[in-house]
This record gives sequence, structure tokens and C-alpha cells, in this order.
Amino acid sequence: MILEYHLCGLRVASALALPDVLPWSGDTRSADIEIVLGSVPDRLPGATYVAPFLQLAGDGQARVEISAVAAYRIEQGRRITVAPTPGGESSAVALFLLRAACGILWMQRGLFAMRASTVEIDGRAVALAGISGIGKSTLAAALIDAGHRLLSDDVSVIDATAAGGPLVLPTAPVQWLWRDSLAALDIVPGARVRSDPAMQKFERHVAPAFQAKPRPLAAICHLDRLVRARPVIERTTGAAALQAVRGHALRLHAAQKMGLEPTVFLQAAKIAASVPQATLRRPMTFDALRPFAQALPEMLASAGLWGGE
Amino acid sequence: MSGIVWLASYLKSGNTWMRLALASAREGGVAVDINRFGGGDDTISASRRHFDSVLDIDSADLTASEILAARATAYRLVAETLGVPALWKTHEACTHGPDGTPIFPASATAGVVYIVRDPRDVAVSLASHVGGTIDDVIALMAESGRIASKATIALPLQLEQQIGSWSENVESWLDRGPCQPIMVQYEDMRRDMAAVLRRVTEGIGMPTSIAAISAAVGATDFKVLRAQEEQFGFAERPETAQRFFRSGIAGGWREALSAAQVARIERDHGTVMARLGYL
Repeated sequence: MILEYHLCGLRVASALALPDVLPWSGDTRSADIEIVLGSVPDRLPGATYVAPFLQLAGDGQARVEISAVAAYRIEQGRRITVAPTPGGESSAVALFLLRAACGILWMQRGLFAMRASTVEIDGRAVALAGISGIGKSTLAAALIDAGHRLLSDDVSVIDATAAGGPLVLPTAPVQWLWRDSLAALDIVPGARVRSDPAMQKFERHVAPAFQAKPRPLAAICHLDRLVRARPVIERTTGAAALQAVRGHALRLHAAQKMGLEPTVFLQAAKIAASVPQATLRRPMTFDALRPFAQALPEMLASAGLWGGE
Repeated sequence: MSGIVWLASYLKSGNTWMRLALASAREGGVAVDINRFGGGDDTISASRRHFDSVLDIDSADLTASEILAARATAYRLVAETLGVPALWKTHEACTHGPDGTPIFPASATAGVVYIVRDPRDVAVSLASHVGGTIDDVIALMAESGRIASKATIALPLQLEQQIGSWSENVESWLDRGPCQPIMVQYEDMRRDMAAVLRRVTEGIGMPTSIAAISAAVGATDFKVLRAQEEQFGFAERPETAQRFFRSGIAGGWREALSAAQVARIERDHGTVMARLGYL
């Protein structure tokens, strides 16, 4: 059976159930992206780059593999073939499709994927960017609890060349959170992300707090740890702003191998030129999390991120 | 050759000091900012960011064994991109992945500097660092195969790393490392840092000068580093530690440890201590 989904404003026809993704409710256009089940060769024909999780071929094809879960063949930004590992961890097949395989797919489609959770704060889409482990999802979760809406967790997909300026394309109404963040925010955990019992990372469904419409990217906050004698928030401008956006591009290394680095650079430049940015240093303790989330809208406004409105 | 120079040591053994001094010496003896890691491509071996970036994957979605199996490849990919050797700090023991291949592959390695400190002083410093008792820390230093930064209930910024016991850490690098290490004793760094830096820079082939080394010694004097931490804080200080740069002295254990504690450390690590001249 083919299921129809709505992902980043695109119509996805999938042979694989994607329970975290919204069903398609738009027009009758043909599918933008096809997800099929089938065999994926161990080695891509004409592979020019072979690494443990990623292979690339000269014709723009890519292969992603998590050997305990599945292999994915990604073609021309419009087709992903999924080969679940026989006897493998079937519950994680959709996760790596959405995260690892789509990370390459967005690049093939000319979209800019950034390491950021995006939350709509007072009607404005704010990307919380930062390295893995800095607390993007945790802060987004606290903002959701404070009444704001999620556009995307952990990775945000941006149409950098949209007519009205960079546009955030909502992904799915789901977050992936570790046990300590869930406990700190009194959130009941959903399904386990991986079956390894040592890894206490869980899904959190946030459908009622999901903004499903693309929104102009209003600001980017680069998350960092709060250290003494540094301000909690300060504007990031000029070359540092460009460097910060480029630095948070997902799969920059793959982009270099695919010859797409100039494209990614231009996308980052477009975003940096039109979207105000700040470095936001948050206390890493959980008791400070809720007050920090409560105070954030005021902090963003006082830092002048809303550009003269 | 280009590649990664591993600045390896057990915890609280002078690694940060060495890293800052080499970073300064490489740039002609410039002032250092303790909150800016060395500059260039320098980092730590368990950097989640570098692993994710170079392998085009999100380690936050991977199990510990999936990560461990790919570590060596990550370093080889990093080494391919380096024009000049990069200094990477590590507190990990020099161990193997699940398939038996070394985590720190010789093909990605441009050199190893192993820094060792009297474990009796390490115990005193580490207790303050982790906010535990000295007895707890002595037990931790003796724990075979000890693992740090496990991703269980939270996602640490660093990847899971096998530190091992103090003795395991030392012997793994001295006997089973990717290349012959340049061995540095913390006590020599305290005594004559300039001489140590001359030996290390020559050993790893880092271009520098006597004047740059002399300036680097001044720029990374303990008082300077401590004053920076007082003023700006230090991003690498754990929440458990009052301060990262504490006293830095060698031989302080004589006042800080009981006879029973000294005896326990000497029993746990006597073989390696004797080998290094600490007994």
C-alpha cells in the first residue's frame, strides 16, 4: 500500500509507514518524493566515495547505511529505495530515513538543511542552531511547553532562495529527547528511538503544537554554554554570521564530496544576509530551563532580532 | 607527515596546559585564550561534532558500538584533509574497536605525546575536579576499563570514551600506541617547561623557535591560565569543579593524602609507577 505524507511542503508517496509524519492533505499534484522498498546494492555502481555510513556516486546518487537497521539509496532528490536489514531493528527504519537519508535528499533538492530546531515564537520562526548535545531539542521542548509551536526538531530544512526570503519548511510533529530532558520537563516518553536499552532516547509527539505551514525564517540563535563574564545573548553579524550558518549546515562534508559546497555556501550567504542572528548562551542546568524558555521571547526582542518592526 | 598528533594523558595530568603551550609556540608565542581550543583544526579525540561532520551521520542516533566501530575511519578521513599536523587532545586509553582494529590508527597518526603525572598528585587534583572524595577517586583510578561520557539518560557533548584505569591508560599508549610516543612527565613540565617544549616540538616536527617557546612558556604560566579562568570562566570546567586550574603543583600529595591512601595507590599502580620512576 502506498501512503501519502506531507514533509517540508512536499507530497511524499511512501511504501514505508512514517507514523511521525503528517498525512498529505494538499492538492492533487503528483508525488514530489517516492519512497519504495527494494534492494539496495552493497556498493553503489560507480561509487566515488565509500565510508561507513555513506557512499556517493558520480551521477549524484547516494547510499546511506546503518547496518543493524537498513540501507537507503537516494536518487536525484526524488526517490529513496529502502532495504531494511533482514532480522534487523525494524523500528528504527523510519528514523534513519527521515534523518540520515533525507539529510542527503534535501541537499540533492537544493534545500539547506541546518542543525537547528525551529520554534515559532510570537508568530516568528526562530531557529535554535547548535552542535549535537548543546540542547536544541531540550530548549525547543521547553518552548513548546511555554505555548510556542514547533516547525522542526534537531534539523531544519530551509528554502534559502524562496521569493520572500529564507523559508522554513516544517518537517514532522515529533521530537527526539533523552530521558533527563523528559524528566526535567515532566514529559511522558513515547517509543524508544533505538532498541539498545542503554540508549534512553525517546520520541515525543507534539501534533497539537506543530506549525505545519512554511514560515519565513525570522532569526537564528546559535546555542552555546553559558560561561562567566559572557552575555547571555549577543548579536552575531558580518563574517561571523556567515561562518555560523555555514558551520551548522548538515552534511557539509558530503556536500564537498558531491561538488555542492559552492551551492551550500551561497545558500548560507543568502540566509546570513537576510536573517538576523545571535549567540544565545544558556545555563546547562535543568532547573534554569523553564525560566530561560519563559524569558526567551523578551531576550530576543531586547537583542534587536526583530529588525525594526 | 601530515595527520593527527595525539596529546594523550590520563585526566588532570597537564594535557590542557601542554595543548595551550604548543598552540602558543606554534603561533610564535602568542597569548592564549583558554576558551578557544588551540585554533585551526585542533580538538579532542571524542569530539562528537568532528565525528558527525566527517562521517556525515548523527552520532546521537547511533549506539555506542556503532560509534566505536567507525571511530578509526573518522580519524583517517580527518587526516586526509589536514595540510599540516593537527593537535588532538585525548584522555582515552589506546584501545580497539569491536572488530579488534585500533581506534587510533597509525595511518591517521603524525605523532603521540604522552603526558604522565604522579598518580598520587592526580588523585588529589581529580578529587577536586569531579567533586568527589579522594577515596572515591582512588577507586575510580583503579577501575579497569572505565568508560566516560556514556550516552544513557542524556547526550554528552563528547562521544563515549574508554579511559581505563590509570595504569591501563599509561601502558596502552606507551606499549601499544600507533607510534613510538614522546613521553613527557608533568613534573618535568613544572621544572623546566621550555626544555620540555623544545623536546616535544622537535619530536613532532613543529616549526618554532627558542624565542617562541620562551614566550609560550610565559603565555601559559599557571598564574596566567588561572587568572583567565577567574575572569572569564572555563568552558571545559565540569559543574562539579570549583575551578579547573587549581594549584598545579607537583608533590602536593604528601600533604593531602593519608598514609593509607598513598599505600592504596602504590598497591594499585606500583608496577607502572616504578617503571616511570615514581617509586
